[in-house]
Amino acid sequence: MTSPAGVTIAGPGGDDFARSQHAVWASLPVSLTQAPAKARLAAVDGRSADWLETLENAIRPGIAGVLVVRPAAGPSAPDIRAVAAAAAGTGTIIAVQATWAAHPAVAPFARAVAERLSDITLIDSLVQLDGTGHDGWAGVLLDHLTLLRAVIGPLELARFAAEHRHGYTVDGAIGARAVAMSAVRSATPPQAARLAAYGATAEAHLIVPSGSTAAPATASLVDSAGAAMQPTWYETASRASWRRLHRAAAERAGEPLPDLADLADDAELVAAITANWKARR
Amino acid sequence: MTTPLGVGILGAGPVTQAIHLPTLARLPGQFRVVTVMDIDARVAEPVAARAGAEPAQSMQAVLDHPGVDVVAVCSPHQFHAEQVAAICAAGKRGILCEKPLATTQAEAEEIHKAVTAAGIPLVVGAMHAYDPGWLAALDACAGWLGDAHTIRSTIVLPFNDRFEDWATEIASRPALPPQGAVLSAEERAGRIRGLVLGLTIHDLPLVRAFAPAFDRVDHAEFVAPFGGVISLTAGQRRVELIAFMRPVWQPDWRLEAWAADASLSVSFTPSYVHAGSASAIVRDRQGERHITALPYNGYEGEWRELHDLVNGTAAARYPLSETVADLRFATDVADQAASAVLHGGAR
Repeated sequence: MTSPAGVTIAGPGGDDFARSQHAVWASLPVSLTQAPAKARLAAVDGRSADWLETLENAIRPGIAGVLVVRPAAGPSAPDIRAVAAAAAGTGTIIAVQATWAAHPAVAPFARAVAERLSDITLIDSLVQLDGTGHDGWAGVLLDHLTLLRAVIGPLELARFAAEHRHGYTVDGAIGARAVAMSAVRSATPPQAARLAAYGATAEAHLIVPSGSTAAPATASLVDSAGAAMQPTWYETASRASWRRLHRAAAERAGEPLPDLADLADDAELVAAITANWKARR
Repeated sequence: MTTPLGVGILGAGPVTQAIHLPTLARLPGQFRVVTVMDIDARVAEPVAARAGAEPAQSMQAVLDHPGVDVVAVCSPHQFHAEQVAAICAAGKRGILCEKPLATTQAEAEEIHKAVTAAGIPLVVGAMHAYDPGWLAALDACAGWLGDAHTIRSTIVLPFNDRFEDWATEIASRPALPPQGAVLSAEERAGRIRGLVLGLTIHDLPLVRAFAPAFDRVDHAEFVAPFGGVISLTAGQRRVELIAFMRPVWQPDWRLEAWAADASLSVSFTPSYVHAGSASAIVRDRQGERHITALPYNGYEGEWRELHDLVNGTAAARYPLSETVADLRFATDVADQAASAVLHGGAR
């Protein structure tokens, strides 16, 4: 049996963030142990405005992996790519825990969609939140695009985008597939992201709850035989992300995960969309 | 006890067969089908026979029938305006006109004049507007209707035959347009106009409860085989209209609205079937209220409304001016969506 990997918080990190990470590490006692002096893995609070700088500083020989927790919009795609290159240079694996896409139900759902839905023509996705981050709707859109990428693929074209005080609408396409994305702000539950992919012979539905608890996502596939619910998965996105990073650090020998490169691509999309979206206030 | 009103029906297609005849059969104390007209005698005769009614092959035969008190207009859309005007002129007591009431604003104005001059009730077959579950939800949201900032209509359904065949045994069906062909921009524009006036229109009167008027269609896209995505700006509100028909069996028919501290989600049953009313969840700071389905749906609701209006036992739920405004909203959405599709999506 190998000893648990030492973990720490990179950079200043607020008390709430530290508490949340400690709670997750405590749920993986065989894999992880808090050990600032002998850390092989580190956590970066992506909600802080200077998260990319913190990440850059955390990348050094001896650090096998870093988890960026819920990165906010703001850093430019070239800057993110530069940090990704630096990580590749030191063999530090960077994983990203995105708000919706990191839910443990998403990856198996995406595999099932890829296997069973070859003829998707319409993707409809809505995020409902009770507020926005300091980066406004750009951060929500970044999380939203990351979910879309994780389940179907990256948005390739934004035909129309508008924001207003209480949400946004982005209508676009992935290849020939129409994509309708929206966000709404309301204090009423559920705080969740939902995504439906419609094909001619089958379709898929996903509802991801906000990641503050281990509440399971609802994921189902529908075809002529009926509707099949995917197994429920009572694990937080944070715990699943740490398991993923731990495994990657043990097995990938420094080979990068695609997370940071994907994040850079999505950040580029966010910048393009928000620079042109029509304000409807 | 009042005598059942005699009903004449113009058009004997699937809507008559699978919606109105089964609905009227559930209301024997209020209505009796007297005659069913179709220009094709091979359709009119069997459909009339199943209701114990007389077949007819012309509108005039229906209007001349002394037993006809009210007329249901279930003919192709382009005939609605002319037929409503003729019914008014014939001195009948009431009209149920399938949606859309007309296909252009000019036709709607003609209908407005004719119905106003005749002084008879007109009910448009926008069944969700008469659905008791929707009406209960509307009451529950009365305090914040005007505060809604986002309204979303989702209509994802299998093709109609799936539900028609559970509502009746269809005598004949019009042929579907060919599928799978690559469509030109003009064809896609035509189809999205048809989508709005044939499918999305069901919920546009409901959307208007939150957003009575809109500024513009911002984006529209036709999605094969028969669907589309349309985004509107309505003052400070956003309206999103998703509609999609495909062979997959699962229906999803929802109207949702959000305000800063309240929200509504209404789920409707599919067209044709008598599966009860809509159900709804209303959420606000006090918690969550569930409106459970009632045993009758909007089809029955619209006929009940017509019965009460003809007999003078109720005031019109929707004034004629609002019915015409509903149509103006729908035709404007349809026209602007078609224009957007022609110009690559966004306007």
